[in-house]
Amino acid sequence: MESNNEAGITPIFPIFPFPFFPQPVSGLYVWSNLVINPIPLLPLQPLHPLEPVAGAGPLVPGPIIPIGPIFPFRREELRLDVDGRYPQMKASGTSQIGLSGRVSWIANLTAVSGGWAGSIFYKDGSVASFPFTNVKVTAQRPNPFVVPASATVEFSGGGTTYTRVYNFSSRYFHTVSMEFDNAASSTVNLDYNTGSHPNRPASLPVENLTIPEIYRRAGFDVATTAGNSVVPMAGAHADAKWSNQEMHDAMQVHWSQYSASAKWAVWVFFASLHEIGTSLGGIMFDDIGAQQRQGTSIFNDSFIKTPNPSQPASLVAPWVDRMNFWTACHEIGHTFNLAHAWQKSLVDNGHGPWVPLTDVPEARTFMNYPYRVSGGTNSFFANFDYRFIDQELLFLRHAPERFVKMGDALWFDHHGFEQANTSADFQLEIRVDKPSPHYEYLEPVVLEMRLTNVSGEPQLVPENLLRSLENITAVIKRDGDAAKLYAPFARYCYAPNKVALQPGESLADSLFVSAGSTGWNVSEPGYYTIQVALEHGDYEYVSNALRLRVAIPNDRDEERLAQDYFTDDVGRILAFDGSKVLDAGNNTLQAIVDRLPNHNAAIHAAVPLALTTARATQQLTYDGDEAKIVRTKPDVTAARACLAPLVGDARRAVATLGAIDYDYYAARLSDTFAAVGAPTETARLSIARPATKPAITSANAATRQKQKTA
Amino acid sequence: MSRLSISLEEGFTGDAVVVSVNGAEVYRRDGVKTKLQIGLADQFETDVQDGPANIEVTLPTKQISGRTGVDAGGELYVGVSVEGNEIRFRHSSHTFGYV
Repeated sequence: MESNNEAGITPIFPIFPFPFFPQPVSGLYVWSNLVINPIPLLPLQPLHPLEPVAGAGPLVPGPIIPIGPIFPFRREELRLDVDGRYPQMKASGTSQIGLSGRVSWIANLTAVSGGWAGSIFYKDGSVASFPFTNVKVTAQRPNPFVVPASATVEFSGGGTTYTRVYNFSSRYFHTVSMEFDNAASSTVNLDYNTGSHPNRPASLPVENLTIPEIYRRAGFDVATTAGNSVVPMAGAHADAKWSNQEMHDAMQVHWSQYSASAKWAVWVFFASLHEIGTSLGGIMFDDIGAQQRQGTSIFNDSFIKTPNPSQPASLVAPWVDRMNFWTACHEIGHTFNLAHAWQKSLVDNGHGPWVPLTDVPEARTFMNYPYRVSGGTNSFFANFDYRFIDQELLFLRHAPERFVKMGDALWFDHHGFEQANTSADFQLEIRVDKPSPHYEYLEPVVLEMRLTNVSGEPQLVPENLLRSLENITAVIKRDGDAAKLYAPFARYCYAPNKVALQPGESLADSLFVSAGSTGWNVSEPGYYTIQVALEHGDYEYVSNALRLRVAIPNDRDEERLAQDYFTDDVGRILAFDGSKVLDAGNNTLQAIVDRLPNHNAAIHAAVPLALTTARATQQLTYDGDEAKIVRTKPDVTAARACLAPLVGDARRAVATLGAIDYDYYAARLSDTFAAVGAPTETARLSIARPATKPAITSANAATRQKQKTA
Repeated sequence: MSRLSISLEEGFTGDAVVVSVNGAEVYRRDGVKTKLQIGLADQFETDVQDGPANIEVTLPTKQISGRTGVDAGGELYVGVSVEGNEIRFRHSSHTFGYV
């Protein structure tokens, strides 16, 4: 239609900006309440969201959206991932709480009227300050042909609501810098033309792809730094082949971004050969030291330059070009802490994923070997779109930064992350009964696991589902250390009796995570993160990530006791509630009770000591080859003396033992003392304690079942 | 004589490994561990008479072992991986690639 503007007639169609194709709303949005205004200090003003307006026109400020309770957040990020390249239908965010607290969250999203909504399935960090379970997201812009000005997130659940408006910051989720250098005898190869080799999907666009573009499509704003430095061959020493240590040295010298700190930056080194020889095409060599995954290398003269003899001569060059390109993208993927496609579920010496992952050995991703899939290299590239798969994109874009960022989490630690195959019927939570998750040095950590029926119908579950530990995976990680997989001293096989959980009802049990068969998991001062996964039927349920702090020793006495305390013997005595034969451990626990009477560890020590001394026991011993049963009598006086820390302060005892274990020990000790005719002790143990949320525990499940059937 | 190239690949977690060819020990090392980013723990070469040959791999401390037969002649590459309590083998006339 011809324009009638010269005649002063308003066009029938609104005038859109050119080029007029819809802009994605996905990307990074930011909110901050950090106002720097020395004189005077003005009150913060809520942002004015922009109403979407059909057609052209000036931007129209909309009504001020009421903001929920003012939390002590300083800066918040929102990563909205609903359109654009490889949308994952997720929203994730990071929020700073106070000066040092931080929470990361991730939500599934489905399109709803006016925006997107879904449930939060992952939290990490200071989760106690972030009780929400659902989000609804809307984007604000005058028309679909410009990037949004803002996005609004309504958080709900956990008994509260909260709304935040974030300003659009970038269409990328993170920023990363890449620096490409080469050894004197090699060249840097950053691109590949996807049409140069006929072995490709018919639908694959023919284009010149670059390494930075691959990672831009994964969601990163890639900048190249310095680069094209030529690393002298002297760095490889006499044989002109490179060892991992030599490459690490070269990285420290030649990488313009090198520093002993974690950052979104990677050094990529092109060289001729590794000292292993032609069979190694590339390696993420930086798996040593405190900052790992910052450097990677590709070897131009390795097997990647030698195609199968069946390749026609005319396709040798594009074949080599393709292998070089794929290798470089693959090795850089390791610096982002991506594991091989067939190793996603692997846990190696405590390093592994947070939640159970699925191995995908046939996946068409940069992180798979083309020659490893069924049908080999030809089959791989016939179906490969030069991308990462969805579970890898979820990790790259939305996992807590420290799992992905170079120099942060150690190689293979927290690699990959994926939403567990979960149903909406149950929710798993871990918590502690303490007012705050702060522990004294030497104080054992006992968690409460709570599985709640969040469906609208009764659900049958094994009454000992949590207690048996058979389907429980717990990971404990101290900041700066490798993650540890909890390995209990024993697993229990129970009769498969079931209980019915009504909607809203929970199954709960305790979990002593401080020590297990592989040693102590919580010992040194510092911050720890703990998360638990439960496998039930065809689904996995992943708990919140619980953050706790262990204090430093108060004095030298605690340090001296620690040497005998953090032992296998003491761990076993605490886990099994006593031993008559682990004398060294018992002596250490007695020392805790005697020398640290006001310490929370003394409460834990009191339990096994009292239970053991207050009972008659029998032990199988050998006199040469002759087996003998040795019986001991109860020592009520000694047991009574052990009880002092336990009965002195009920609130403190409940807080450190946890309500479930406190109830259990109180009942067991009462029975034990009653059995030896010490009724006064049983009266002292009938101690009132703070009310807690009701739940079926293994301790009361049998009684409850009897009551129901009576 | 042929050259046999043996690669200890996935699943080695700091193990003692012994490799024998036709009953003769050709490799023994402690602490063999797979480098996860390349799927390779160690590589070595040994000469073998042309014709049928038996390769046996043992992890003494884990008390697991496995055997495979090959037809030695020209270049031959054998990859060895540990999966649970089993030793798995793969054969090729071309060099294996690791990245």
